[in-house]
Amino acid sequence: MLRKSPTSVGNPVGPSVTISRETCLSGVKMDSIYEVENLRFKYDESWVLDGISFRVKEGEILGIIGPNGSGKTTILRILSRVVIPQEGEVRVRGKNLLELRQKEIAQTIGVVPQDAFFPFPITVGEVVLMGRSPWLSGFGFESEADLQIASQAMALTNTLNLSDRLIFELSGGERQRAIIARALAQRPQVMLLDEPTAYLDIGHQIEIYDLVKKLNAENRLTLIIVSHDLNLASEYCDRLILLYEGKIYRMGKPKEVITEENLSRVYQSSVLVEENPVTGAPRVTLLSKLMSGKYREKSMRIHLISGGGSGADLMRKLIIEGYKVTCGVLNIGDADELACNSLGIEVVKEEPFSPISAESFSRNKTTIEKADIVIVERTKFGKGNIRNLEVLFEFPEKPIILLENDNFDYAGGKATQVYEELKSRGAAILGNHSEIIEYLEEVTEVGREKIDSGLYGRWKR
Amino acid sequence: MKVLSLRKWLITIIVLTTLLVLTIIFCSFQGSADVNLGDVINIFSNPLSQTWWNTEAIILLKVRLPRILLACIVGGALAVAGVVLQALLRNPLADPYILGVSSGSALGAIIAILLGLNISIGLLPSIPLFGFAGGLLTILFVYHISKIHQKISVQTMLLVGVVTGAILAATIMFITSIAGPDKVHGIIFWLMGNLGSEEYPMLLIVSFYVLTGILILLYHARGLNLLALGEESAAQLGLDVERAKKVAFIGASLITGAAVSVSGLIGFVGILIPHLLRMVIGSDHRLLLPVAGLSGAIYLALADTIGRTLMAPAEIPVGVITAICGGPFFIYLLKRKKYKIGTATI
Repeated sequence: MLRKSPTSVGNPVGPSVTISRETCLSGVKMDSIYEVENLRFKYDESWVLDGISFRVKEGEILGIIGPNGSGKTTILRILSRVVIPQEGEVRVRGKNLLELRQKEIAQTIGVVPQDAFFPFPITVGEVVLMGRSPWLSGFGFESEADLQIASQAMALTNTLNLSDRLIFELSGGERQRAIIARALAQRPQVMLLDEPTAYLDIGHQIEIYDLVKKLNAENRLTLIIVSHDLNLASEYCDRLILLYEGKIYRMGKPKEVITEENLSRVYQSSVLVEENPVTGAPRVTLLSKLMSGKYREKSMRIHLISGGGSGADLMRKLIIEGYKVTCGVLNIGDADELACNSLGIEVVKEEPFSPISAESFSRNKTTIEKADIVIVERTKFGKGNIRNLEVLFEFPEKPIILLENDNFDYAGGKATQVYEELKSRGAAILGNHSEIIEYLEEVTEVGREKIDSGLYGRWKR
Repeated sequence: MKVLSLRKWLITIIVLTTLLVLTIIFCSFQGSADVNLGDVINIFSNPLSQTWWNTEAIILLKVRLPRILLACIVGGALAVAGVVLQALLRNPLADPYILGVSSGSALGAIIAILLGLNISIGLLPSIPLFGFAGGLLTILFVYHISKIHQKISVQTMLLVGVVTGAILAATIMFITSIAGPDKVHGIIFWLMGNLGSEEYPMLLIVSFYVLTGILILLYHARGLNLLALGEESAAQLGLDVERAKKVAFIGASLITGAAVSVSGLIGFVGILIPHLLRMVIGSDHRLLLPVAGLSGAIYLALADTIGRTLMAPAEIPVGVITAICGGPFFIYLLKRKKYKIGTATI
């Protein structure tokens, strides 16, 4: 399958597919670039990869994600035949990887390592020209065509103006683009990138991924990207493989793979997965491990009364502390309702801009029934949501926490009345969120009666 | 974009070769005995004619020319070996002696001196032959130990080479310490490096040997460019890495061994020339390698000539000249050109 160096330059960086398609074995799916079957690999004692099988379709961007040590870089090394798996088979365009000569592999597969090293002073142009090595033989010098291909590769990566600079002098982003240009100069059919943005600032990160997307869209380049950056991976990849303990944990579209369930299991951490409001791709937020320890411990159910964005902050804090939170009643589209959606909080909803109906009122009652404690945030109350306060009269025994509130009555005095009534019935009045959290912890520890008796600790009245 | 073309390559090589020839001719004139141009021309045009075998001719042909040619061969070999090893070990500090071959050759030669084997085996003197055998054994040893699962580990090789060299050097010191006074002088004199001791038969063999080695290495010059990027990157760019490493190591070691066997330990050529040239012509080994060979030849021929004429009739060891002249000049160039090695600017 050794292809001769193309004498005409043709399509700027597109792979020279015509020849290889003709010489491919029959019966092979023409749209698979890679077929990996039952890969098992170990460096020393334990299996780093333990039974991996997947296909890479032509023209797709495939992302490989997973914790450190899960075998991501090893897969790339196996795919470029830097190491050979003890078991399993890898086929490139139908041919077994082991049967190809080193040069044929280099003509088909371009690799962009994480951080390339250059022991001697060398210019960017020379670096990119090295990408033509797989097409040269023996002592040979580069031809005009080779120079043109290298120039085009540099033009595509916006490094043409750097061609006479020494590679040392470049910034991280420029150097990475130069390395990508080198891989492009190989005119590969598939490009493997190992953490291409690991050492780059966010501006450069976007630069690289946009370039990758462009190469894929315009030049039909297949890409396999190993990344630690889950958000970038979910943004730019068509499919993802999530590796865990040497096996494929999940494989599919980013929305299917990047879920709280998958990530928390694989990374042993609490994460929050929302939808990126601009792009719709899954967006991952990390939650501190210190807090996630409590995540599984608390069983207290808290019902939060809020609205208009006043409750979002406390919601988050309660979730992080590990409490089960419910909300109600909130209008659809209300900022607090959106917060509930992304946090996964059960909420009693009402039509947008409508006052609380009898139906939602009764649903709210059912929800409050199940709660152990009710918290009323610093919300403004008007005719539309006064019933959120009034519902509390139906639960005389339910512990209530009121946050100190003023200028909140837009219901003609009714809200103030309810507040006074609740206070006289023994509702706790707290000043800020930290107090709330402390209060809740103590209630959990020593029991509600002690707290409510007004004789315990700082809650002495 | 600056790139190496066939034309640039040929021009550079031709210019340097011409320079080399001129150097050889120039050096043959230098010396304590007077040899005039007329004699030289006559000798070169009729070397076999008996009538011209006067003293001057003898001096030129039998004493100076072999010496100059030997300097060229040794200088070229050491410079090329230095370039190759720096690429193989990815280390700008590497020189031809780093992997222990030189110590092995030295030990072999010294054993021959010690045993008083100043005889000839056939047409060839025995000291260089023993030296070469010593070098060869060292190469085999280091090569064998550096192999892990049939692959050469460059880091292991570096350590093994350095340690082996140290052990052999210690052995040499030991031998020197117990040798008789008559032998000691011979040993030290040999170690200091001396280009005047060989005659044509040996010279021809060494030349043939070194030139073949250099040509083989030249064929793999592009491979050296790739190796410098790291083995993984080199493989991903299509290089047969194991083969390239083997050729580089064995080639560089053999020509070093040969050079040391006939001339002792001449320093500062193998580390200086590669860096000097890199500052001027860059790191493309297709050009760097042959240019290093030619430059090393010119350099050593001139250094040796200075050594034997400056304080005539006394001879300054050539190793002293190479260090004293080369070192400061190198530092000067370094400062002027802000040479970058690795990621630091010097």
